[in-house]
Amino acid sequence: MKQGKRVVITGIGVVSPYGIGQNLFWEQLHQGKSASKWITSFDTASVPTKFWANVPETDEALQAHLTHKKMSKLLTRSGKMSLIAAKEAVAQSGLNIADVSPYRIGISVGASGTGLSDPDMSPIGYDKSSWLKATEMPMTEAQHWAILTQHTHPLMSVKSIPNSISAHLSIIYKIQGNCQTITTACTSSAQAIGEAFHKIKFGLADVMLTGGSDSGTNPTCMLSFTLLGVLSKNNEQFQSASRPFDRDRDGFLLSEGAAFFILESLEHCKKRGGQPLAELTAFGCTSDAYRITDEPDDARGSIAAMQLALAEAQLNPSEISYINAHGTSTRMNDVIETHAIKRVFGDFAYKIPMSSNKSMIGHLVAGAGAIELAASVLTLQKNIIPPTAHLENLDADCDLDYVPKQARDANLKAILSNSFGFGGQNACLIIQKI
Amino acid sequence: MLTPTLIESKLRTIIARSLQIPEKTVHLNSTLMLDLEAESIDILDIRFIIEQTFGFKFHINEITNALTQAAAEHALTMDDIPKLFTVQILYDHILFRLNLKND
Repeated sequence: MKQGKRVVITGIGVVSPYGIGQNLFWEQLHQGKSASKWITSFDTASVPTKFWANVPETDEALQAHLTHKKMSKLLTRSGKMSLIAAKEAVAQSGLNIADVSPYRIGISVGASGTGLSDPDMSPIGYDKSSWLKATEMPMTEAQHWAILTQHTHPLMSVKSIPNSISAHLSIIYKIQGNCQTITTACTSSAQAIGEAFHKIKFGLADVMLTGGSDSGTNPTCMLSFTLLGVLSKNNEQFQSASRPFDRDRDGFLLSEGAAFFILESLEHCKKRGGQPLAELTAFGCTSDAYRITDEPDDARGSIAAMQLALAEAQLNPSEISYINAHGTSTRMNDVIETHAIKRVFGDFAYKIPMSSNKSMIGHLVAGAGAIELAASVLTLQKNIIPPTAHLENLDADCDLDYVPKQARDANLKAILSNSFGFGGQNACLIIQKI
Repeated sequence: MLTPTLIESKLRTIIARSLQIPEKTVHLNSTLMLDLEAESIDILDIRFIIEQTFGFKFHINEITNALTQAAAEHALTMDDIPKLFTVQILYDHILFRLNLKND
């Protein structure tokens, strides 16, 4: 007998590096299309990586999709993408939010720490020419701060608060229940969705608007990841540079986007005549308690997270029909995730197909878990497993079935979606057909 | 050369862009918070863009003090201040700061 209420997904919304909407996302993803693009928005002459997977829409084009136009000046790029994705999710669910008791519906968003890496958040961004002119002159520290004060936009602090997205969603949809933001690097949105799931499962809410986003495709963010040495530098083959589990991969593809969901109790969904897309049955979450960017060789944290998820879903390892891997295209992740899956699934690990969405759409960082759950729901519905694109030559330490290069038809019943992040965070979600 | 007409035009553009409303809906007698539905952070945004556009710095207290004084003169309460805070108030202040007109 399972504890708590059953939780279903009734709406999905996606803004991906392919563009706006879940249909476009699935169409490109299952065909293994690369979203990697040559960077044209700034001069990359001194940058080792010259490609990323940005959302093709400009800020102005994203703004055109917003219903509440005035909000745009308070939203970072990831904020704008979030509102667009949330709108699609709400529309697909058919839910009239006004019909839900305002304190029985909440919001749970996975987001990066601040939006300060967005170009428009730079203190010098508003009036760069006068700032540069001023800095050419010798000045005291007091003069330096005076110029910064003069040219820094007064709304910078409210624009950069991590809970900006959840707050704006609350204002737009008049959602007055628990409104939370989770910032745990690459696991942020998977964890936010998991927390939303538990809120409903354990009776604290009937409906949750949940998901996450990130926008790392800007010079500041690229520089920070470049200095960590985690980005691919394969400029010659930029469209196929992201190749998780391949012996020749050299790092991940930086990207951006958003994915949002409407979660509700099955009981609530049935009562209003809603249509479930999938059932969310488990959330396993752990911390490595090891190092900030290194994963422990024994993969103890990710193993425990997968085991917790299987236990909550009351599934045997053999009942998982596909794993949507974290699969970053870095050697450390690929090898340790492979090891962890073998430990959790035993001999059955070799029989479970797994693939990495990041081989095509790159790494959305705080938004990765959400967009990969969206991909997983579509995978479950269509019974088609998207490939690990560009996987030509398996790494010697990666010997599982990674569904290389071509999508595969399959009769899917349960999917495990893995997210692991800097700081040693691990979040695993399980969805099942209903 | 900045003229009062050009300043009015620029001010209406600043307000319309900040509030994402058509420029034709912004008039000198429009109240910012009632007619144009500006909230406190919108006022901060508008003030900042005025500063960057016209090249002077001002504190919002310069406006609110004048409004408080005007409210007292008209035997109004603090709650009535939004009714007094018109586009004209900002326009007059810009002219004053640019020495184009005495407040």
